[in-house]
Amino acid sequence: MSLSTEFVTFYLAGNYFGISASKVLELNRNFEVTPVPKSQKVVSGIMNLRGQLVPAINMYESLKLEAQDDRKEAIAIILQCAGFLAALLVDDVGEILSLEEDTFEPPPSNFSIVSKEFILGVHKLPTRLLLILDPNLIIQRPEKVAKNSALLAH
Amino acid sequence: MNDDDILVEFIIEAREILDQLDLDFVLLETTPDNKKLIENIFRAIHTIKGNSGFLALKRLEKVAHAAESLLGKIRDGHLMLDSHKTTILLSALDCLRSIIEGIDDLQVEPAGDDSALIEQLLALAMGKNIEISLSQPSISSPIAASDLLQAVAQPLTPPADDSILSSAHLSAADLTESTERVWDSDYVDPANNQEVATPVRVNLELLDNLMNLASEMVLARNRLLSFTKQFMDHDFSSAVRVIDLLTLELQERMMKTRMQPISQLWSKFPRLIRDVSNECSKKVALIQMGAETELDRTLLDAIRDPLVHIIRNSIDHGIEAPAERACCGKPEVGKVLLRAGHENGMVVIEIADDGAGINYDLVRQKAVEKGLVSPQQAIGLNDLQLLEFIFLPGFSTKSEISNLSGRGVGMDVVKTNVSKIGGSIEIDSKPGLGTTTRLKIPLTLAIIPALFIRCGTEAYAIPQDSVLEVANLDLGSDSTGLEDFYGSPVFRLRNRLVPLLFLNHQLEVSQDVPAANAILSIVILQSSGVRFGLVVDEVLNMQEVVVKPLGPLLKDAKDFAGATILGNGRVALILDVNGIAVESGMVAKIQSRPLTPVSTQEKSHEEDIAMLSFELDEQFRLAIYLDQVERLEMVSPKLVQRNGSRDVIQYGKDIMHLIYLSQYIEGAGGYQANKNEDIAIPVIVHRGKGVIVGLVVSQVLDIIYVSKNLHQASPPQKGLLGCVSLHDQVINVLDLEEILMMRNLHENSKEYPAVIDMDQGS
Repeated sequence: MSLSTEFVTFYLAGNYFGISASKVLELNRNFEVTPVPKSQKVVSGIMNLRGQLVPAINMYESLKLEAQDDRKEAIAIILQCAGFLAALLVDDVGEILSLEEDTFEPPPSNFSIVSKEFILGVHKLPTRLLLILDPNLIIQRPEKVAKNSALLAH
Repeated sequence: MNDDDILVEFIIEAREILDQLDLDFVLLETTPDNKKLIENIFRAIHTIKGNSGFLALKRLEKVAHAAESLLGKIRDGHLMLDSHKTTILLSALDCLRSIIEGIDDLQVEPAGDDSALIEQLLALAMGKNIEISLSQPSISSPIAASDLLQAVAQPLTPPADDSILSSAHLSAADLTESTERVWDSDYVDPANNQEVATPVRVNLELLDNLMNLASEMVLARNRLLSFTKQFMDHDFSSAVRVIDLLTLELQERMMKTRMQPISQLWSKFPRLIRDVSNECSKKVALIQMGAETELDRTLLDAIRDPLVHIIRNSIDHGIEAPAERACCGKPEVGKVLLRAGHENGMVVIEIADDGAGINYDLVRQKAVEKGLVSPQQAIGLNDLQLLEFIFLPGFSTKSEISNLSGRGVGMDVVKTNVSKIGGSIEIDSKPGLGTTTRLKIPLTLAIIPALFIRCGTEAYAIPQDSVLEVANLDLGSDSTGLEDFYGSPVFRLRNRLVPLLFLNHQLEVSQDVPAANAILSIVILQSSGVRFGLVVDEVLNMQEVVVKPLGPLLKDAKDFAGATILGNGRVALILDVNGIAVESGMVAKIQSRPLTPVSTQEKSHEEDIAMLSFELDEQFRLAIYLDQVERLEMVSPKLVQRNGSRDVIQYGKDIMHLIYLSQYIEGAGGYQANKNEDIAIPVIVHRGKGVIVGLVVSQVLDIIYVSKNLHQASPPQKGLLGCVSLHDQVINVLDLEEILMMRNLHENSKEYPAVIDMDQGS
């Protein structure tokens, strides 16, 4: 018997994504993001989550998605992982799905819609594909990029 | 509890033990016969050895074992502890500490070779008096030093191994015996055990989270409170009141949990002083007072480096060598006093030494050498002004650079660090008697007053301590307007050139340049010794804010010191004035090209005195010394209350007495406050000995700089000191003291008419 995992699903530029529900603290619809001038592009700004400052991640920038006309970023998925919080700004959320290992496949090699590095793999659902994101990488990548560029500068 | 947790626990415990051992060793050196102390030290090292053996940390175990062997001999009275042995044992502690820090970083024991150190410990334990002292650098980097020694001693390794083995056998026999004694002594000697309820170790992060929740609770309560007014329901209101009180108490208690006694920090200093004084071959005793004074823990962290630096300075620069001290008739052992206490809601920390004090002549000489002042100016500088130079980057009076100080990197960094947390620093030094450095630190970092400004669509907060003033510059009507100084915009503020920085350009929110007739809002800021004007879109309001860090994702944002959450739940960024000054290149620019064009004018100002000129009625011009003016206010006549015969007004928490100058000055017109209740009247506020008075005037004009020498009026006029001339105009200077005296007499006259008759007869 294969293990089943719960995923929070969401939409970005018409793509269907999933992220492990164990890392999701909550979904937030009423939020305001304060932009931080001169910060990395992947950070849209910061928001207030019950007195805690949470960086809001620009998922379009992070996944290198083309911004579309219906870009709403109406919902923030609050992740708690690698010791701190981050909010992923997404257009809409879907159902929470409990999926078995047997529909899962590693990302195909000719995958080109989004930056492949964040995709853990793909769940083949009856009607469409669900792209599973790696929450750790999404939260940590900006820092890594900063580190690398700092290394290059020296 | 998994393995990781055990390791974390071990690291925390080992650190505590090592900190305590530092103290114990220094104490032991002064009282080598203290059996109890030796017992405690032995037991502590034994604990580390036992635990590291359990966790299979081989390096730790070996070093701890060797140190234990030597300590065992000392405890049993076979050997005496001397300075040499203490130094070796302390370097063993340093070695243990660096391994533990390594474990904390890597989660495994870092690679390294301690055999040289172990060899020495064991050789000493065998009673050999080898004199390969671990050279001084070993204190800061024991691994590197022992590696070095090891490299030299490489060919001799086989016999060295033997000696380790043999002495290991030797002390293994001791060990069983000593462990028994350790257990025995636990019953006899409970002094080292905590008798009272032991404090619980709580994760700092957890505390911060709780603190956060408590603050949020306060906000939520505020919302609830507004409902009680809507519903007017008695039961509901009383329930809310209970929540109100509980929340308040919760918040207060939470604040307290963050407070820690300063002794936590100071406990590291006996060791520091021992090391530094040994290094400079001086004798220094440390006295601590007020170690129980509590401070927010983030502040404790922030003042650690400044304190260490000041103490090093005291020993290295301040306290003289023993021979020199004897010559001056001082005791050979110098004193460093640490004193902490509360004063006006601030924590004051004093670091005093009884050393040579600051050589003002040397400071003066260095300032001239560095071209900071001309030789003529230097002669005129007083001690206080000379002390200011000490805080300049790159300024040092030490001619040779030592390991400890003299590189000129120091007091400026200390000052920056202290002002970063909203504190201030003062130095008082008497040649031959010593130097006292006073740090004033706010009780808590959490809440600071800030000025809100708008740039683009967003509001930003500027910490108030770096704001000097707010000015408007009307580009359309100002005769000089914006000027260009080596490619940067400057403007004139009371004849001083102030460089400008456009916040929207700095933050890259827009590239707009102001229109030719725009009115600029400028916040004058002071940071890193640089004064500059920040052009903002709008100045909003003052508000107290709770500072929160931006977190790891945004830690590269140099322009911001943090963020705060506003009453409406939105986040506002807090500008880092220091960061902006450095980032924008403002600091470098000003330091390379001081704004000299007006310095000639500035100089003439030094001989002049600043006064505030005002009009009493259309013709009558007066001036008052600027240092007598606390601030200027516009007062609505509606708020003026008649209190008996006096006019008073509520001023903050105090009462301000209004003075109508025309009643006291001869020749002034019969000007009275405008009775039209809708027009605010200008008032010059003066805070005198315990009383606040407001001088009612018809118009405040300008700050003027005039010669110190007044023209005496003859015959002397009541209420006037004399007059000055400015641009062919004569301005009378107010004698505030006389006016206040006359006012008091006047007041008294209401109660005791007889007295006034006599006085007025004169």
